Amino acid sequence: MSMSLSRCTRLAALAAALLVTIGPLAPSAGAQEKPRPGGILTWFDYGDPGRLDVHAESPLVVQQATAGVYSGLLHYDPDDPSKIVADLAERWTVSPDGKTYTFHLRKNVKWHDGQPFSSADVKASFDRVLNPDFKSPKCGASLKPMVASVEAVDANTVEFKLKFAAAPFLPSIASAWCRVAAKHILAKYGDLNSAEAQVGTGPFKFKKYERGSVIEWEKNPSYFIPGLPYLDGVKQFILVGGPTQLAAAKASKIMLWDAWPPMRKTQADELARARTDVDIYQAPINTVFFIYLNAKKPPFDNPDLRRAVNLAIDRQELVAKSLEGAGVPCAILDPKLVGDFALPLDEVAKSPGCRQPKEPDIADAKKLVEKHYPNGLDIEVAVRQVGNYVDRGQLVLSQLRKIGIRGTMKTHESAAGYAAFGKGDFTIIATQDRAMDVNEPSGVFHISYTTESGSNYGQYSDPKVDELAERALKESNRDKRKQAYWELQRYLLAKCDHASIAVGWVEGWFFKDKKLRGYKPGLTTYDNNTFMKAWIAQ
Amino acid sequence: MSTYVLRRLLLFVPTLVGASVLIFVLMRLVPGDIAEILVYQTGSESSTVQKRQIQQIRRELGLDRPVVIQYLDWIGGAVRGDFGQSYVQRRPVVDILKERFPRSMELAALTLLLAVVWAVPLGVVSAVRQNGPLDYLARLVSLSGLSLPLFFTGALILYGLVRIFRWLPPLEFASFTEDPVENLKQLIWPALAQAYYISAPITRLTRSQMLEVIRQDYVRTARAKGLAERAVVYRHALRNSLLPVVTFIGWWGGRLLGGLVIMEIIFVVPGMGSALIQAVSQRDYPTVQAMIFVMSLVFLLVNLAVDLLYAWLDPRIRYA
Amino acid sequence: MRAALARFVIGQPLGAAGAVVVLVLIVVALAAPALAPHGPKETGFATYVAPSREFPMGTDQVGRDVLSRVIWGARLSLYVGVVSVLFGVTLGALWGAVTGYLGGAADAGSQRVVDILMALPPIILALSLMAALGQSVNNVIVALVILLTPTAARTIRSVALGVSATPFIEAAQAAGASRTRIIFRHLIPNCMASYIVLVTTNISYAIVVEASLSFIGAGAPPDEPSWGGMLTAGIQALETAPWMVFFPGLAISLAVFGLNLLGDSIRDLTDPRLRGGLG
Repeated sequence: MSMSLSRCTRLAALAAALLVTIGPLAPSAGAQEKPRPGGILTWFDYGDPGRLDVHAESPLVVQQATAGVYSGLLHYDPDDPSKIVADLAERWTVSPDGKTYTFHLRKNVKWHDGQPFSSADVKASFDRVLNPDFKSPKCGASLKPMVASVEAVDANTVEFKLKFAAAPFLPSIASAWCRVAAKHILAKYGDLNSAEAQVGTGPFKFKKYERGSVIEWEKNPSYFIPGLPYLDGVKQFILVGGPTQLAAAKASKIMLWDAWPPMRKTQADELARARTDVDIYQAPINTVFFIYLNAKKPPFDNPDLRRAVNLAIDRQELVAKSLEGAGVPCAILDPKLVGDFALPLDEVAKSPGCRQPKEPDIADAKKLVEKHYPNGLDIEVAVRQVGNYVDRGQLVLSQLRKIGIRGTMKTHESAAGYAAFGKGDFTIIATQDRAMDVNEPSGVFHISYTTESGSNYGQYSDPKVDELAERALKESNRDKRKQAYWELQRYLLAKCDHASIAVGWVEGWFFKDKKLRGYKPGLTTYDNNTFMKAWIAQ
Repeated sequence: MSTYVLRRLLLFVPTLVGASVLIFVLMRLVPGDIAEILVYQTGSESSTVQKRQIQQIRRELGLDRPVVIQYLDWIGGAVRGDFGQSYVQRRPVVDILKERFPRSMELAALTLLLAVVWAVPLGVVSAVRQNGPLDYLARLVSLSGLSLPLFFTGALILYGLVRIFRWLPPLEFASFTEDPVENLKQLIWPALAQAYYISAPITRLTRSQMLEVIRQDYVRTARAKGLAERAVVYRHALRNSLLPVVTFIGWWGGRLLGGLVIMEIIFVVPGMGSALIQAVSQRDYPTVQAMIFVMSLVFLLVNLAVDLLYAWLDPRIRYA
Repeated sequence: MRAALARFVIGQPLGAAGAVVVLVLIVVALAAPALAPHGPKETGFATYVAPSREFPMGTDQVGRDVLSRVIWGARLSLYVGVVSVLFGVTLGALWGAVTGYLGGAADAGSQRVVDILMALPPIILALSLMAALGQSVNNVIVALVILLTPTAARTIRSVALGVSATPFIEAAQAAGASRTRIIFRHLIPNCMASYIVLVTTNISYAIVVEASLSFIGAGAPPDEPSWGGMLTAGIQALETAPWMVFFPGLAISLAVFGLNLLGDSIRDLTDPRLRGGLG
């Protein structure tokens, strides 16, 4: 068995080497060419968004459906998606104490309906998402803890007063969810749910929403950057079924696959055989694969049992097999995404539960289980039925069996599973991917590790984690902030009994048509999908 | 005649109410509601905020009221043609129905047409050549349609079209009135797959009805009179044996509307089935209830129409 | 006995072939633990291994032996099919026969209930039931029973109506036989032929519906060796690992063919009107 295993990983590595023709951040070959205007870009949404209010909703499909319609004050540079640059704001200044940000807005910007854009729109948009009674799960949730008030100083200047000097403020403002909507449109429709309310200042106008079928944008001829966009329009098919998505790719109906779900390796292989006019690449999707233990219920209210599972889970095997090698095992932060805020991977690899060889950790874990359950124990292992979660669950089950935990799988419907998990209605969740809203080191800790975290499904509370996370969040000195995050990561890895277990950072397989130029994938699945500089070569 | 129709229409009422109560209760027994799904699926806000938001959404949608009141409110509106607002799309469910209903009806009609054109002649051949090689072949061919789950047949068709022709049916829906060619290019495949699937019972029924009629006296008489075999089969036997087949096809037609779900998903047809699946998974109660209500109503209406057609075709039947 | 068998084989060659397939299916299902080289949920082999001597049907996406899963799948499919149909069709048949015979308010009332259940779209009804009950093999059976009962009730009711009107039942009534006696001694035996046909054809229906439910995530739990679940997983890798769909697909087809051919023959044999040929 060990032989077939190693052969399998070698094959995977070989295939990976063959397939990675371009990295996500590698400069595109088209950078020197002269962009050609015209053409329609086609890609797809994995679901029907239903509602379109980018301030009030959280599914990727909502953001994807409206991305090109809106602009933000800032955004991630389409030419270098790791950099934050001005968008509606021409420039911005920060006060010396780091608590006041002043944005100087572009002049002569027009909404798609011809109305002039001004600071009143910015204020209306951010007042809306910051309203404590307004459910704004992405932009609002990230800004509310930091922002005290938003004021329009004059028609072209907006000032944000912060509660503390918050390092994540700019990345949050630049996030794809913090888009600026028109005051008069908000007043007219009350929300941004309908197709008619999609009036932005972005490079594309919202043209058509045929529910369950297609979403179309058309070029905004009076976009505030002259000459852009190059494309005449963008078409997103709504493709729910996995076989349909792949069939569309193979039949050249779509030019780009760069959102959730990533292709599986088998799909990428099939596509590579069917089409030679595409670049297939492996890229991170800023998402963590978690296992959650319910710390409020037996057996995992017992730290020994939590530690046992933390030790026993073979993260390398899970990444190798269930992610087909596309992932970074064990890491709480991924250096590819947040640079040196992440603990170096060689240090991570020595931590309990991650270190190799695996056998001593498994033996320790087994002893911990035996101490409390001499005959082993039977538990229910929950998974949502989506993507390859069930397959991942199989692997988790067999890993748990090695330490005397006999699991049976309980599957949940995709959407309803969240309701069960949110209510703490589970013993262990075998797998759950969590995408980061903003590419920022603070994200993962406030999503899954602190007591109040929205996705801390296990409801585990460790005051030390809360304190370290809070300190790191409010630290404005970059170096001290890095030290604080290192301390937090070291603490979590060494203690090895948290109810949220990071199996690894997920990567996936994607493709883009070789003719598509001027497009680079963003650092989160949400960013840089406005296609403002994308163009199609002959 | 008109009293018969009236009585049948009156019988719709208990059936529709019963079906709506059943689905109403069933949806509430399903764990999780839209508020929990919306809030927990995001999982970004702090846990305290999440609990507050769930209460707030429930209040907005009226989900905090007693279930009986919710039902009465719903059925009260439904009677007046107001099915409420979709929780997911935040617009009147009637608008969603207006969009989706004609598409699924078209797909169902196309499916039935193909099924009949294919299955009835196959059944006739099978009966006329009973126990001959053609009978066996016809039966095997028709049974093969049943032998694979539809989703798999559908996936194979997609795969085959791409593999062999590098072609895929349109992904963008165009209505028949907008662009009949595009429309048929998309709908013909799911209709073919579904028709192939439902043809087996139609073939089987046609065959057994034909066999029965062939042996009846008037057919023997006709044959004794020296009428050509073809004339016997087509003029006499077929017409009379088709009656129960018509009923059966009508029954299938009525049920088909809800049975197209899987084909709609695979071939990206934005019809009622795919919307209904999404609504069930999102716990969008008003949409689920309205769609099921309409599907039940269509089923009942088609059955009534079939019965009337039956009476018209067969003058021996009279209504008490 | 041997002569009767020979007559069946010659008279109904398709039916005989169906019977053989069904017999094989039953044997495989019963002997699954002995026949399968590995456990149906046993992971740990290399993934996507093509059919070879070690794995005659290859391995799947998590490294399970496809042959073992197909064999255990026979047991699961047959279990789901047989149990749901026996319960559903029997329940429906009794219901239809009794209310059809009794007539009056009981019949009218029961017809409304049948109407309600038949008016609901089956896939959606099954999906909601599975969501409410939770995903397990036995709950698939519950959902199938609820789908099968009304159809069986309606079919058998019309048969029972026909039988009730026949002279010997009228004679029994005239002779003062009790209703219970008439139902059990006369009515039910006369509905048996239709009942048997319903059972054989519906088992294959149940197997295919179970498979379809897998596709929309409402079938047997995905780790169970269900043929439908295997097809659902396999269509994600049609080209990479065609064996993942070929073998379970073949198994479903054979089972459905066998059951239907057998059912059709039984129908032909039990229905005197269908005997003999045209000329």
